[in-house]
Amino acid sequence: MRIPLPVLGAFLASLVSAFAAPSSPPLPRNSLYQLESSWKLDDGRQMRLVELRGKPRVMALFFSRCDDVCPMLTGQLKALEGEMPADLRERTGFVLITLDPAGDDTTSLRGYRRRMNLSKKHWLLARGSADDTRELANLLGVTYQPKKNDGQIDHNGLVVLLDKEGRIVKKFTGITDRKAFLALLRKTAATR
Amino acid sequence: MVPSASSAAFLGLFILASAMSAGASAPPGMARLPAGEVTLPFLRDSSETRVPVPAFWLDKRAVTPSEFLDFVRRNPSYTRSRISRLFADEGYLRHWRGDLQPHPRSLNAPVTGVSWHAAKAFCADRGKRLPTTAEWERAAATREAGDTDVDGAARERAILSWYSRSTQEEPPATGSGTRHAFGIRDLHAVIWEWTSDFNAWTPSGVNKRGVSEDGLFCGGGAAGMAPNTPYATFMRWGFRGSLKADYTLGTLGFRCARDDSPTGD
Repeated sequence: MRIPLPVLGAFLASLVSAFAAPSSPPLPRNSLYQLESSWKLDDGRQMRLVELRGKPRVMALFFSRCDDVCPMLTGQLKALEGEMPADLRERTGFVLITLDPAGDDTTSLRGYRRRMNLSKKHWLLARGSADDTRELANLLGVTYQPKKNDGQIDHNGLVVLLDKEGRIVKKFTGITDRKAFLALLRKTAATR
Repeated sequence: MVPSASSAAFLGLFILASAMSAGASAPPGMARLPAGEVTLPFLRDSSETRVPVPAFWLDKRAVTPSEFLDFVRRNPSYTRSRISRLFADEGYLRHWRGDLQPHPRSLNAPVTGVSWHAAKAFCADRGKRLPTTAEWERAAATREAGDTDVDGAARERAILSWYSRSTQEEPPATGSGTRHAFGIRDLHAVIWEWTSDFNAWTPSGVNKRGVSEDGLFCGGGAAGMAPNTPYATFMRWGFRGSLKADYTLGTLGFRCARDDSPTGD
């Protein structure tokens, strides 16, 4: 007997949600993952922030045409990734969110991923609406100005470490001390 | 005489044009502002002091306590006792008598004591959004047809007299503030209002290479203003730059906006 794939998929999904739902307790009241906004990943999938639960996440805002702070910051994060022991790398996720939703689409995000050589396994690139992006930035402490005529957007280069439940552990103005960051990340990965 | 008569005629044309393009689909309680531009009170780059503003719709009045009550009733996570401290500080709706009880004396004034996050959620719930700072300023710069305050001196006086009120007093009643084009009221002299990008215009600029977060709001964001900026304008831009999204104030409320042609972002 052949079961149509969509039907099988729906059945499996309902099975998963039936078992998964009771096992996920409500988010802490200071979790950013309470935001209900929807984000489009560069592979076309839609994501809600709650799906980031379960791993420490290193989050930063960027935009693909950024000629200055973003490539530098992404470079710093890549250096960090390179220095991670394999076990820690498997338990950590990097999330880059564009602060130029009007100028960036999935194609330009994919272009940035290629240019910066960001692995699909550990890096998520996402785009949301203008207001949802502003809201997330406000919660992270990232400030940015409206786009200028030359297409650039001035912003502070904040990197934010979130714990497994989406709570802010610490904000970094660039990663200058990788050892200290890795120590904090290891601790965050070890706690619930 | 001649300039004011011709500008009144010009305004009349605007009103006619907006009424025609709106047709029967005009959202209730909103006014359409045709495309225009706003003048920034500071130099952004070497030459950018004017910013284009595409056509948009704006609520004619600020959101009222009754309207906000309806929102929190249907969205209990935004009631005073349940809202996350991430989204609003401890002053959120503090003057209400309970989660679902606005203070009776505040019912004729716009709702205040609402954080940016809650204001954003309210507008989204109604299929709207907060106006951008440029949109808000664009609307605030308009005058009602027939306004004789040609140089804006009377308006400036009214705003400054409002600034000097005690913050302990109840906000003035809805409709008692300034009158603008297209039936829009109260953008000045009733409450301060949230905009979607209230913190995006720190004119001193955010260092591209990243600066410490604490340094960003130095001078209330008013550093770098053009020296001939009217005091009321100076206050307004500086005030916005001093806010954070979880702040709540008894003098700070909001109204909602909408794109001219919904693109389904």
